Amino acid sequence: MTDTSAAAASTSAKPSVAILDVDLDEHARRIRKQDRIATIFLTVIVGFVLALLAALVIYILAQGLPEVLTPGFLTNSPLDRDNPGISYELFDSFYMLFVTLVISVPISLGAAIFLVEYAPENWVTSAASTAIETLSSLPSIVVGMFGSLFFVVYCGWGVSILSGAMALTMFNIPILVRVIQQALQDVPRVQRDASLAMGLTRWETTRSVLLPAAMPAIVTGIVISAGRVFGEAAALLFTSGAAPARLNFGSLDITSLRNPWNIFRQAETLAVHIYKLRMEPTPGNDAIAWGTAAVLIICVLLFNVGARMLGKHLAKKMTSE
Amino acid sequence: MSDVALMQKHWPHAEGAATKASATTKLPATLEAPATTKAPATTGAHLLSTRDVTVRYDLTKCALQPTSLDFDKGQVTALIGPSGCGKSTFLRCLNLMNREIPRCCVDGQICYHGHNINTKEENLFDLRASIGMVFQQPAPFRKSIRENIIFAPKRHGRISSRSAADELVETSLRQAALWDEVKDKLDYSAWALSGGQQQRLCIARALAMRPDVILFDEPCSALDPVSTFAIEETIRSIAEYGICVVIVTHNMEQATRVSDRTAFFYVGEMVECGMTKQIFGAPKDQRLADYLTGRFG
Repeated sequence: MTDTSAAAASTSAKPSVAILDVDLDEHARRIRKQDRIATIFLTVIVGFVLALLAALVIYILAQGLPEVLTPGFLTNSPLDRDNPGISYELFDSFYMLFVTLVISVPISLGAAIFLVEYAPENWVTSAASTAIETLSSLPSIVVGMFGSLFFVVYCGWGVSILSGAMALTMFNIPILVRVIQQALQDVPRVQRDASLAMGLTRWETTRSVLLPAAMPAIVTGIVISAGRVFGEAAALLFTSGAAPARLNFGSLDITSLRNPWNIFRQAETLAVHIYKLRMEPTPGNDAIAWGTAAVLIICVLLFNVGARMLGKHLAKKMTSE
Repeated sequence: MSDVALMQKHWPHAEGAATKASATTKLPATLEAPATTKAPATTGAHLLSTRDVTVRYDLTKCALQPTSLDFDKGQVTALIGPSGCGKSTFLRCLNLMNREIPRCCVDGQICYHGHNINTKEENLFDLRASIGMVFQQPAPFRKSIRENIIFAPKRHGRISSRSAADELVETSLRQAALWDEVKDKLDYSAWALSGGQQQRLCIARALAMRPDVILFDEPCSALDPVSTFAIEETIRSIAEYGICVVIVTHNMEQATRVSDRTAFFYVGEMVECGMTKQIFGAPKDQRLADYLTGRFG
C-alpha cells in the first residue's frame, strides 16, 4: 500500500510536496495582519477626509457665526450706514439660483432624454457627450469672461441677473445632464420594454413611465447642483456685477432697476460679496465677510443634506403611497 | 355580473360563447373595437406562424438558426431549453421586440393572421396592441393599480368613459386572479404590492389590451412557489378564453403542467416540437432526451 502511494506521489506531483512544506499557521497570521493593516489604513484615510471637511466647516462657523447671530445681519441692507447686513445679497443669491434653474433644468432634461433614449450610437452622439463633459471642466473665470462679452455686451443685456444666470447655466448643464442621464439609466430596462410591448411610443414611454420612475434621483440631482451653483463667484463677477442694486421691495414696476424681480438689474450674490469685502480695506468688512461665508456654508450644507433627505422621502413615498 | 358572464362579454371568442367566427366579433358598446384584425388567408390557417426566422446580433453573431413554428388560438405552447439557447430571442421576434435592440437583425417570415409582419412598413404600435408580453421581472409602472391597467388602452383610444374604464379594470383583475386582493386598493401605488401580485398585475395589464396572443418570458422565475402556482392557473384560464399563449420556461415541470404543445431549443436551434405528452414521454431527438434526464441544462 505505501509503496504504491509513494510511487504515485513521486510520479505525479512535485507541487503537492511543496505545499506541505508551508507553515499554514504562519501564513494565516500573516494574511490576517495584512488585512488588519489595510483596514486601518483605509479607515485613517477616510477619517482624514472627514476631519478636513469638519475642520473647514467648524473654522468658518466659529469665525462667522457670532456675526451672523448679531441682530440685523440677515435683514439689514448692505447700504445701511450703521449696521450693514446682507439681506440684498441673500435675496439675490436665491433669485439668481431660481432663474438659473428655470433656464438650465429644461435644457438639461431635454439633452439627457435625447442622449439616453433617442441618440443613435454614432460619432455625433459621442461628440455631444464629450462636448458636455468639456463644458464642465472649463475654468469659471473664463466662462465669466465669455459671459461678459456675449451676454452683457453682444446680447445687450448689460450686467444683470439674466447674464449671470446664463453664465451659471453653462456650469449647471453638464452636472444636470450627467445626473439625469444616470437617473434614467438606473430605471430597470424592463420598465421600458414593458411599455413598448404594449404599443406605446418612445415619447409616451419616456414621459409617462421613465420620468416618474426616475423622479427622486432627478430631484436629488437638481438640488445638489443647486448647492454647487449657489456658491459660484468667478463667473458672476463680470456678468451680474459686484455691487448690489438699491432694492425697493415695494416697487410695482417690473422694469425699474430697483425692482427686486427685474432680471435685467445688476445683482450681487453672497460669494461675490465676500470677494468684494476682502478687496476693500474698510474696517468692519472682515467680520461681515466671515459672516457671509458662514451663511454660504450653512446654505450649501442644507442643500446637500436636504437633497438626500428629499430623495429618500420621495423614493419611499413612491413605493408606499 | 357573475365572473363567467363578464368573461363571455369581453372575450366573445371564448369556447362556449355565442360566436365562433372570430373575424366579426360583436363587442359591447362601451369598449371600442381593437384595431386591425385581418381575416385569415385560408380557413384552418394558424393565428401566428413563423417560417425560417433567424436572428443575428451585430449583423454577424447568429443567435437563432432558421426556426419555423406555428401557434394557434386557445393553445398554450411552451418553449423549453437550457440557458442561452435562443428561446427568449425567438419569443421576442413574435412581437418584434428585437427591433428595440440596436444592430439586431431578424430575417424570415412571421405571419400573423396570415399576413407577414416582419417588414419595414409594419405598424409596431398596432401590432403590439394585439400581441402582448409579460416579462421575467414584474414591471408595473410607477402609478396606481387602476392607472397601470387603463394606461395603454387609454392611449390607444379604447376607453370612452369612466365606467368603461372601471369595467375594464375589474375584468382584467378578475381574469388575473388579483381582484379580491386589490379591489380596495385600486388607487394605491402598484409598487407597494408583493412580487407575485405585481406579476399578476402585469398579466392583468396585458389582458386589458384584449390581445389575441400573449407572450410570457419566464414569468415565474423570480417568484415564490405560491405565486407561481397562481400564475400557472391564470395562464391556463387565459387560454380557455381563446387567447394564444406562448410561454418560455426553464422549468420542465411547469411546461408539463401548463402547455399543450412544447418546442425544445438547443444552442440557437429549434430541435424538436410536438404535443407536450409526446415531447416529455417519448422524445425523438437525443439532445432532448439528455435535457429531460438532466444530463445538461
